[in-house]
Amino acid sequence: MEKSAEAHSIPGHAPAVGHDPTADRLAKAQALLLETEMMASLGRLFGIITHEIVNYVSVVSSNLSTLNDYFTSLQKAFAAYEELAGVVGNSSSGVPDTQRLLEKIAKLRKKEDFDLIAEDSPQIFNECREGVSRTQDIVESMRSFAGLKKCSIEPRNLNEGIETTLKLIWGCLKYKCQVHRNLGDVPAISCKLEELNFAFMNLFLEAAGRIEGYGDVTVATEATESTVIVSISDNGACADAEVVSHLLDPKRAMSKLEGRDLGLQVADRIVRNHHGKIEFKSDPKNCNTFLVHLPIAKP
Amino acid sequence: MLDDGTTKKKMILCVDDDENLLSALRRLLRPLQHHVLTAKSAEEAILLASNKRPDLVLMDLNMPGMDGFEAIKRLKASGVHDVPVVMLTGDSAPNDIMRGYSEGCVYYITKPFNNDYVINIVQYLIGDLSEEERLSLEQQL
Repeated sequence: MEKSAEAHSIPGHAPAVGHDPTADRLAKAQALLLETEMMASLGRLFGIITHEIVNYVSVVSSNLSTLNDYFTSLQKAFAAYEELAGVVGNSSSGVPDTQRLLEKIAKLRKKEDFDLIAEDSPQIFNECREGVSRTQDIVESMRSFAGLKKCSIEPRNLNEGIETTLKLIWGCLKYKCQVHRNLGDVPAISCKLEELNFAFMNLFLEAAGRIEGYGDVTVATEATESTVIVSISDNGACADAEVVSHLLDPKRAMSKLEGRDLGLQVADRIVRNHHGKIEFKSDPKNCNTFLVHLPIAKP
Repeated sequence: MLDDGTTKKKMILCVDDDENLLSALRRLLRPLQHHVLTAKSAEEAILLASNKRPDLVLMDLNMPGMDGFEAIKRLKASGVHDVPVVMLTGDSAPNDIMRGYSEGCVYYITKPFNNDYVINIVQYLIGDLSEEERLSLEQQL
């Protein structure tokens, strides 16, 4: 179906065109609906991220409490050793005093379990570092989405965007599927990568959403002479290709949606805005696949 | 734990798909001197529970495969139906909390959790406390 430039534009990125007032109002309503859906998708994304960060914070917070207990024990040890140093350094103190303090330290060592503290502490620090590092990764990836509205067209590699997106939504995907990457050596394309990440996010969530229980999602990239192709496949329930094609079509989708989210339409609109297209294939024997075609050079 | 030399060690089963969180829970519960078992999935937890018959289960909600709600349902339908289950999860939506209680959990704790609160609930549920301590804690929980 042929579409106007306006129908394919992201709200706020392209000027409104068209002289037919009804078509103009329809396009504006559509754009508003899609913007609302983008906000709803961001809301879902924040839910996923919050859940993930809460897990990391739980580990760090609980471990800090344990480290605090360990530190209290070590403070007692330090005080006992200070006392011992004072006795040893004082020429008027006798052997009995030294012996008494050494026994006190030995008892303390057993009571406070210094061996456990020495063994466990490096592991605690590792776990805390891992939690902080994963949280940093998420925050870094979030910056990409935070810049959604003001991102600019630059030569960017789609593999980088896919990795960023996967990091961000891993907290959701990990309960549904194993993600297999088959990312080829693809050239950079002129694009608003932050917007494309948003499109990839919706396609990944759609793919994972079709899986009952636990399954597989595969993402692959390859380049032809003029196009980079991103394929996102799942082995979930076989989707009706016609219905999905309707969902990808902004003009036909409205009557089909009835409460379903517009994630696919948002993805479609972003890709079309980049002069690309999304195809959907469903093979009952294998899986469902979204194919995102994006031109290497802007036509 | 009551230090009267007669208290039998209890068994606590912690279920979470995050290995680091299980580690943190093992540390948290260590001073109670009970046996702590861990499972990284609901399926593993059900198997362990039927073999080892724990005295208490701390259960995450979202895990790959079966979720915590389904796990509680299956535990309640199995030979270990009387084991108290405490949800320990990052999901704090009112619907999830209501669902947790309706499936049969006795407490629903949201992450990030307060260590003392978790310890209090564990001690309360596995009978580590004197009658006086138990009554006092009952007012707080």
